Amino acid sequence: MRAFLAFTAAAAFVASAAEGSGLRIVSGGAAITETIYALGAQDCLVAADISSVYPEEATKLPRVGYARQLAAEGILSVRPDLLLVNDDAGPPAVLSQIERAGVRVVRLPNNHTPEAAESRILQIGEALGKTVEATKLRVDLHADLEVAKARAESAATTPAVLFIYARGGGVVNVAGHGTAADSIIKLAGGVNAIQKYEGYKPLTAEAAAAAAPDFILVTSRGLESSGGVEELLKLPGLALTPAGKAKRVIAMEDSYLLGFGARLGQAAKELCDRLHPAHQETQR
Amino acid sequence: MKEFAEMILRAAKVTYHAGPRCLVSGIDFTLGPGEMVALLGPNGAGKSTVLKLLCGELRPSSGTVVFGGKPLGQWAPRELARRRAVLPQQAMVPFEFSAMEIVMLGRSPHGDAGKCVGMVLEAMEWTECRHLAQQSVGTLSGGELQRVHLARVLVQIGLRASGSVRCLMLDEPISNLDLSHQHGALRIAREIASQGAALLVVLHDLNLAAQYADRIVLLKQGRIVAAGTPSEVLCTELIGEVFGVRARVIKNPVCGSPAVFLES
Amino acid sequence: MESPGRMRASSMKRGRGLFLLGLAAALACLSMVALCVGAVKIPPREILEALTGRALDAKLETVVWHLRVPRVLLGIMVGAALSVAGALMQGLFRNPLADPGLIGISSGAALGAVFVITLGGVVLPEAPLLSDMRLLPVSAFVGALIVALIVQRLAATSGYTSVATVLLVGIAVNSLATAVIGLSTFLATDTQMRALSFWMLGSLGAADWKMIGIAAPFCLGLTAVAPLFAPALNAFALGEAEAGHLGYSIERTKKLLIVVTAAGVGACVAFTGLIGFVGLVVPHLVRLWIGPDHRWLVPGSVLLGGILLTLADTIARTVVAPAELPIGILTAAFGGPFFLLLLLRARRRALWG
Repeated sequence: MRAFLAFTAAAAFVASAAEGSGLRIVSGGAAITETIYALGAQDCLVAADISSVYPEEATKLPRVGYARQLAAEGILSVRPDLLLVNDDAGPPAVLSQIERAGVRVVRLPNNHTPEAAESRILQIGEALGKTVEATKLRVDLHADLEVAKARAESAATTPAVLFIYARGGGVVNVAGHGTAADSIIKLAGGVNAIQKYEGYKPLTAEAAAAAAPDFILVTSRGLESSGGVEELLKLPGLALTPAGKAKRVIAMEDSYLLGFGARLGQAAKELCDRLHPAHQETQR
Repeated sequence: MKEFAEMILRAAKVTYHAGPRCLVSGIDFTLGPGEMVALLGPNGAGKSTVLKLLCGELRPSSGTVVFGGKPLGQWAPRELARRRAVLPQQAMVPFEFSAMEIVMLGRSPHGDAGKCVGMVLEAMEWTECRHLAQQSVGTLSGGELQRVHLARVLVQIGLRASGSVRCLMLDEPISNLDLSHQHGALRIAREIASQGAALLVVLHDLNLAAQYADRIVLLKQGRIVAAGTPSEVLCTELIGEVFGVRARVIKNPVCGSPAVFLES
Repeated sequence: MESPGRMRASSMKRGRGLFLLGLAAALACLSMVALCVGAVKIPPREILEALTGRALDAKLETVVWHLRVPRVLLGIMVGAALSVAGALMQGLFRNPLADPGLIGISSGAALGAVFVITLGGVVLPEAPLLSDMRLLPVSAFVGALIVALIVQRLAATSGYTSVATVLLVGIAVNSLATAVIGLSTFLATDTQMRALSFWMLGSLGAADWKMIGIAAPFCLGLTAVAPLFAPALNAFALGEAEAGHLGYSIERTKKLLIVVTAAGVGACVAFTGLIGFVGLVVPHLVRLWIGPDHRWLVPGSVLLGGILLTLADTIARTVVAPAELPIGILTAAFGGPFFLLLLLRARRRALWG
């Protein structure tokens, strides 16, 4: 008990301006939650949406459901001062109801670009009164991205990467351009194996063969839902591709890979390293 | 024959086409007050079609149908429904109405459903279904249901003579009834006619028609082959022509009307 | 001789007035309860203060006056309208299993909405209106009306609408709508699909006074004119031709019924998504209790529909607070098995009766 008290006292001591003001925040997105933790403002966080699974402590917060289907009274019941959401959150009627009840609602850009990720960090920092921390976080992110960029540029190869999005129920889509997967592949010095279309489209055997990817990229949940690497490569056409023959499948945690949050730089670096293993070895 | 002006129903040169097929043609027909006419003919002769044309359910391709001095099309539906009731062949009632509620529906054109419980029960008494009043129609037998529907059309035009025109059109009203109820139903029809109503009844049984109807209309392939009193129409030649059977006609010892028997 | 089943009609009749009174009282009580519970805990005394405009706390007043009251009202309105629409369609089509979904009106509304959610962005990616959910209600409403008109037009041959054809056209429209919705979800992005699926499951969460203002004329209009159709629908039970012989204008009645229902259902689907089973189960329940006479069935469906949806929504917004369940999940989860049970019981009774 005494240890616990001491711990809370210490936590209270290091509390920054935000907690001092007693700000109560609801986060409506994985990247937002992640950034709030990265800024050290997690004590202000009173609830989060269901997609907020990183860091793991975030999953212990009260859940306000899906960010696109928020419940006005549910959110008001945790008495927030500030609701941070991506600009695709909704329904719009609910957001305006929440605003009318006196809660500040900040809508953040949700583009899959490094610029949007950086701007989001700064806006969250501003909303939380943590501009210094946010600036630092942004600089770190930027530096990581630069590293990834430099490594990619010095690499001899530009591997073709096929992102497969398995969302269960037999629906298997692949990412065209304009998707988060497409952006992170580019940041990591790869090239999207699908160039023909925008957005997600169902995977077909012929399209997979034509794409001829050197790597197959999946989210760890997607890999799990398709039953592991062996099962994944049984999907039509995959076994015949260079990636399938060499069993080059990269799995990364969903929001880490596609969230474009505070860990974007790290994710880009990691993916870059895994796409260019030979180059990485020669550097070491 | 009754006077033209008195006629309740008058059809002239009524023809009906369904697509290229001519189902009914050249129907000339009159029905006067107090008269009970039976429509007879083999299956597919067009009896139901003629009934539907005469009641306005089908619109003739050509020809006219006049009811109560006014072309059918000019009647307001509700006004017509107060004077004329039609009992089509049986259809399922999809919901569990009670028998009494079904009979009560007969009064809906009059808008006095609440005040006519006495009449409803009396009609049900006539058709011997009063004991079924509170039962769900889903549980009734075909014959019981037919008597309930008969009671319904009776209350629709009223059980007794009134100032206005009354007409009843029944399409095979006794098809599901036992011997006793068949005669019972036709006796009621006769009784209604005797109080000034005009009755048109589609029947299959020549002898019942002969016993109860004032006139018989014989129908074959959509045309009227013969029309007249039972003794005029029911003869070996006409029955042979219409039904394709060899019949012998004798005098019914009970009522003196013709009685038809088939040669074996 | 007389089994209880055969004598049910009389016992039902006696309780009708009492039954409706009971339903009205239950609806009133339930509405009060619904106002008092929710994710935000508010004591009844303060709810009363908020309702009478004497609340001291602006946030509490917002919760009560701008969130709960419109929501309860919308629930009652939508529940009543969907149930009445079900009762009308069942009477019109002489089929206790008919409902607006069956003849394609709901699908039409859904189609309109899906079109906006998924294809809108493809056709006109930069149009600000299309990314705005406010377009959704309008398109759902338009979809419902278009389908109702198409059904009516296709089913009408030489001025005579055959009920069987209406049902067949409804089935065709439904499968077409299902195919298009399926195609859209297949092509939709993850976020689009999430919005779509939630909308498809239905929710009263977006209720506010403005929405009440837009939905009320349709829902209340349907509820208000429905009793006028009751005598005609009773006659329809005997058959279309019989209804005609009883003095009802069949074609006019059918057209009016379909248009009125489309307007009401379209508005419901637009504002609350697809809330299934209400239109099917409620009239069925009422009929089991007080019989099929539409003069009682229609008001009974209004009240029980309001009760059922208010109850479902109260559960939906409290069980997983601060999140919410889509109400369509609840109505389907309870309505489906319940309905099956009723069907089985009714069939057994008919066999033994």
